[in-house]
Order: sequence, then C-alpha cells, then structure tokens
Amino acid sequence: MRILIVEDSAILRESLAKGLREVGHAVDTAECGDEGIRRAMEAEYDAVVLDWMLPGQDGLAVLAALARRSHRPGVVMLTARDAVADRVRGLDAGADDYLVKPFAFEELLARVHAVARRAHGNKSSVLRVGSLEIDLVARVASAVTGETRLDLGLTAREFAVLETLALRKGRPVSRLQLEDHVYDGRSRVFSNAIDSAISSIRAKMQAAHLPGLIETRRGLGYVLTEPRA
Amino acid sequence: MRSIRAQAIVMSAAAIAVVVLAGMVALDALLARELRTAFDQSLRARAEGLAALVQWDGRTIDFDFSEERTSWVGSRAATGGFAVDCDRGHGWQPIERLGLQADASVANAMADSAVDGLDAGGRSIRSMQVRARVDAETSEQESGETQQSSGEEQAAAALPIRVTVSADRSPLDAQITQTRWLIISSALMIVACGATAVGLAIARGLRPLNQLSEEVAHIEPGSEHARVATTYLQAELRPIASQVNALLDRAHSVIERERGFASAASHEFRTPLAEARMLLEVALRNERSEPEWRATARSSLAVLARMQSLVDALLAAARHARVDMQALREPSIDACAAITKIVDGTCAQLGRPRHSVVVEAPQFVAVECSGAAFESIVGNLVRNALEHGMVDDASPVRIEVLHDRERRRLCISVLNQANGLSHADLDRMFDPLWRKDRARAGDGHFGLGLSVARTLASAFGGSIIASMPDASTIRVDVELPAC
Repeated sequence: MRILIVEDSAILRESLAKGLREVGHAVDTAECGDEGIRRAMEAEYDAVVLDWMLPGQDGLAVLAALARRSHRPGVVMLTARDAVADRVRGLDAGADDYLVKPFAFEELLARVHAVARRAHGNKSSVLRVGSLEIDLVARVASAVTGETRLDLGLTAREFAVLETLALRKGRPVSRLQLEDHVYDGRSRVFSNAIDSAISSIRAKMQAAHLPGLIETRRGLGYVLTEPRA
Repeated sequence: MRSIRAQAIVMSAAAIAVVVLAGMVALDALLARELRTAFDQSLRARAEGLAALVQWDGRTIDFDFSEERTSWVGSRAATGGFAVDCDRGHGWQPIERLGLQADASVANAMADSAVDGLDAGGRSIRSMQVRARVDAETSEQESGETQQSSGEEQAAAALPIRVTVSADRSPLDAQITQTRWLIISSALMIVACGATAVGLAIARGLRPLNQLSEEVAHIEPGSEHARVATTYLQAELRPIASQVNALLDRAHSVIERERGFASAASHEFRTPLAEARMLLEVALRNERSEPEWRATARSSLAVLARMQSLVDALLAAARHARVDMQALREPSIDACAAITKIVDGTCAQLGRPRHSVVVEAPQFVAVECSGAAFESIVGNLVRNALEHGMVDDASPVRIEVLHDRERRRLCISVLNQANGLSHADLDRMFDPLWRKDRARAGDGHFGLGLSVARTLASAFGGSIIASMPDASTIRVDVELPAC
C-alpha cells in the first residue's frame, strides 16, 4: 500500500513515515500543501495522511486537489482542532476520517487501512480469493482449507505486492503500478524486483496448493483472479 | 455590623423619641400651668368670697364666716385654711383665722399671686392673698352722723383688708403626676408604633433588594450568560442591577478571553505532544539499535525544548498581563536612541542586514514608559516585521517616529509588507497565540509577541492599532505618553 503523508512538523512526519514503512507500506512525505498536491498528482496513493494546517496551501486545498483525481485515495486528516464544527468541516471537505492530535500510532494505522480499503471498495479487512485469505490488518496471507489455515510466510515486500493485487482483484496491475505501491521514493528498485517477488509468491502459493491465482497478462501486467472451476 | 433595617429602626426611634420628648416636655409644662392656673383661680374665688363677707360701717367690722368655716373645716380641715386681716391705720390686724398661722403662709403670700409652702404639719399647701378695700356701709340715721364726723372717720370710709387662703396642693400634684404619666406612656407608645411602622416600611422597601440578592446569588459559574432583570425593580435599585449586569458582562468577557487563551494554549501543545508520542510509539514497535534510540532521544528532547519555549512564552505573556506596569514607569527614556538600539540588536539576532530597517526619527523624544517594556514593545514589532513582513531587500521595514507635542504622545509607525495578511486579520493579529499561518508551530513562533506588545502599551496608557494603507502594506501604529 502506498501512503502519502502531508505534515509540516518534520518530527511527526518522519516518525509516521518510519512507522508505516516498518509495517510494510511505501510512504512518501510532503512538508507543505503545495508539495502534497504535486505528489498526489504524480503518483497513485492508496491513502493520504493529511495535516489540516499547512504552510502555503492548507489541508482543505489538498483535499480539493485530490477530489479531482480519477482514483481518489482515502484521506485521514490530522489536526489540533477538536471542535465539532472543525470535524464536520473537514469531513464535508472530503476527508474520510479525522484524527485529533495527539493520537496513538495503532489508531492511525487502523484508520489508514480502513480508508484505503474503502477507497478500493472493500468493506472487510480480510480479503478472500478462492482459498487464499489476506488479512490486511495482521498482514498475513494464508491458505484456508476447511478448518486448516496455512500461513504462506510472505515477506513484507511480497505481502505488499499481494496486497496491491488483492485490493484490485480481477484488474490487471502493471509492473510500474506495483513498483509505485510497493516502493516509495526512498527505495532503490531493481528492474526485476517485482517479477522476483511475484515468482516467490507463486512458489509459496504452489506449496500451499493454491496454484494459478496470479496470472500474467502480456502487455498489461499481473492480475489476481478467482481460481477457474 | 447591624443590618440596614436595624439601623433605620434605631435611628428613626431615636428621632421620634427626641421629637416626642420635646413635645412631652412642652405639653407637660402647658398642662401643669393650666392645672395650677385652675387651682389658683379656685383659691382666688375663695379669697374674694371671703373678702365679700367682710362688712364695714366705718367704725365696726362685721363678718360672718361661719358658713365658710363650716364648709372649710368640713372639707379641708386637715390642710390649709384662711386668714382675713384689716388695716385701720395701725398695721394689719387679724379679723379671722382658720388653719393659718399669722406668720408663715400669710407673710409669704404675695398679693394676687400664689405661692407654695408647708403648713404647720409639714404638708404641701398653696396659698394666695387677695387685697381689697371694703367700703363703709352706713344707714340713713348714721349717714347724718357720718356727715358730721371728723375727718379721721371720713378717712376710714374704706377699710383695706387682705384675705389669704391656702389649700392642700396634693390633689394638684396628683393631677399633674397623673397627667405626666399619661404623657410619658403616650410618648412611649408613639415611639414604639413609629419604630414598628418604620421597620415594616423598611422591610417592605428592602424586599426588592432581597429579591435582587437572591437573583444574583443564582448566577453561578455555569450560568454566566444570566443577567439580572431590571424591569420589575424600583427606580432606586435599577442602577445597582445595571451595574451588576455590567460587572457580569465584564466578567463574562474576561472568562471568554481566558477560555480562548487556555484553549489556544492547549491547542499549541497538541502538535508537540503528537510528535513526542509518535517518536516513542514508533520506536517501541520494533527492536532498535543504540544509535536509533539515541536519535529518538534527541528528537524527543527537541520536542520537549519547544514545549518548554511555549510554556516560557505563555508564562511571560501571563506575567505581562498581571504586573502593575505603572509602578515600573521611568521618568523619561530617549525613545529615538532606544529604537535605534533595538533595531540594531534585532537585525543582529535575526542575521539581517542593518539596512533591512529604515528608521526616521527626530533627535530626541522622552517617552514615559519602562525601559524594558519599551524594548519589548518595539522589539516585538520589529522582529515581527522582519520575520513575516519582509518579502525582499527591496522593500525594507520602515519605522517612522513622530512627537505630537500638543497631545504629549509619541507615535511610532512600523510599516512592512502585508505578505498574505488581509483586512480581516487586522483585528485578530493581536490575539494571543494567533498566527496567520497556523502551521508555523515548529519554527519557535507562538503568536504571543504582538499580544504582549499591546498589553504593555495599554499598561502604560498607550495603544497599538494595525491598518492597511494599501493592499500590500501593513502599518502598526504605537502611541505612548511622551513628555
């Protein structure tokens, strides 16, 4: 999952980015509203953590810019304003959720996951593709047969690739899109990194008797599909 | 302290008592005189009656006091009596006496006036003496003789007599005493009734005051919007209620300001708290190396340092608002020299060239202010202008100093670029913790400098107002008392 953090406080911005990266997300940061809008226009994000009070254009202006995108990411607004009127104003402006500073990291993480899921049209935090079960909160992929649950043992990077495919189930995702959602601007990406990850995921699925869930569409990319009957 | 009602009752009772006492004394004197006069009239009537009983034919005196004696003895045998004397040219000679000795009462009695004295038994009596002349009564035979009588006998044709009567005055004294007690008891009743009436009237008059008191007592901290109703109050109490309402308005405004300040101060802490919490929570989620922990600790300390700066700034602002600045007033400060020094120091602190600020000031103006306060006022304005109102070197901050000798005011105008400020911001820019760009929380600016400057200027009898002479310029005018 690729997340954009737009926050003017350097300490808060870097702490959040560090925590989200350690969970396995690709995280980009912006320190002002103008930079946030530019980044949001350049890449496709699953979720945006957006401070309201920003130098230059404020959080509401960033929300307005995000609303013009074809795929609008889920937005969690951060603010020191705790009045009901402020919350209503933020939500009316297009924010999907609202978090008043100070907050717990776990709460922020849960809200980011929730808004990202909703942005892709998924209500549950557990996605199912055939016998494959992907728990977006626990960040675990398992093969479920009857009462038996077998963890595929995916690495954080592999899970991020699978998560990106699962959130877009049935739709092809290009290698470039996968790179965008798995690696942030700080990562060094090798040319075969995505292919290597896909191969590893397929091998682990094969071992768990889940063959053929990830298909290669020539010229389009990869797609996670329900198993053929 | 006694209540208004008790004081009014005591004072009105005292006033009534004084008036009644004066009236009582006058009435007592009047009634006593009237009683004595009536008593004396009866004495006089009796004396004149006795005098009428004396008959004189020129040679012999004839009288018949038996009836008088009988009635006197019958009614007043115990006290008093009468004496009738005549003067035939040899001094007063007694004709008849009853109950009176020749010396005491008779001698003391004065003609046509009553005197008090004691009888032989030591009892109080009142005596009166009446003098008369008894014309000779002659028969027709005697008339011829009389005509032939000597000149001496003709001279005795009118006989001088004096009649002295005395009577027991105890009935008079008893009547006077009875009247006096009647007056005293009436006076006491009047005082008591008056005091009661005053007490009732005051209690009735104070009832609206009690209602007002109860109404004010019901205004609690949670109901600071409540005000005292003035429509039902008497005209005398309306000013009090209006003043109470005005006081409540002022208190409400202070509470609102303090609430706003506390709320703004609390919000200022939200971001650094969020920073500290994120630093520690994220650090604790995974195993960290020592360098990572050190980095986390350093970042945490930086957050704490900023929070400490905020606390210091808030305390300084609170201190400025609390201290009686008038006590710190210095006789005269050279404002122009002080401004130059402040500008030099601020430019050096901020690393700005000195030509960033252009100062136009007269040679010397003595301002009535504290040196430290003046430095704080001007320093905050210059710092604010340099940090937020200077877009480039081509548009330096301008400081114009004028001395209004007639009004004895020093006028300092600081002009700088508006840099995003609008007319709507002019009223709010002096509010504590206000920043145009609220996101400037991490750069050490808390939005307290202008607020402190205005508080200090007001404390020294001055003012600070902001205006926009054009869309791109902010002008802050400071006025302070000058010599």
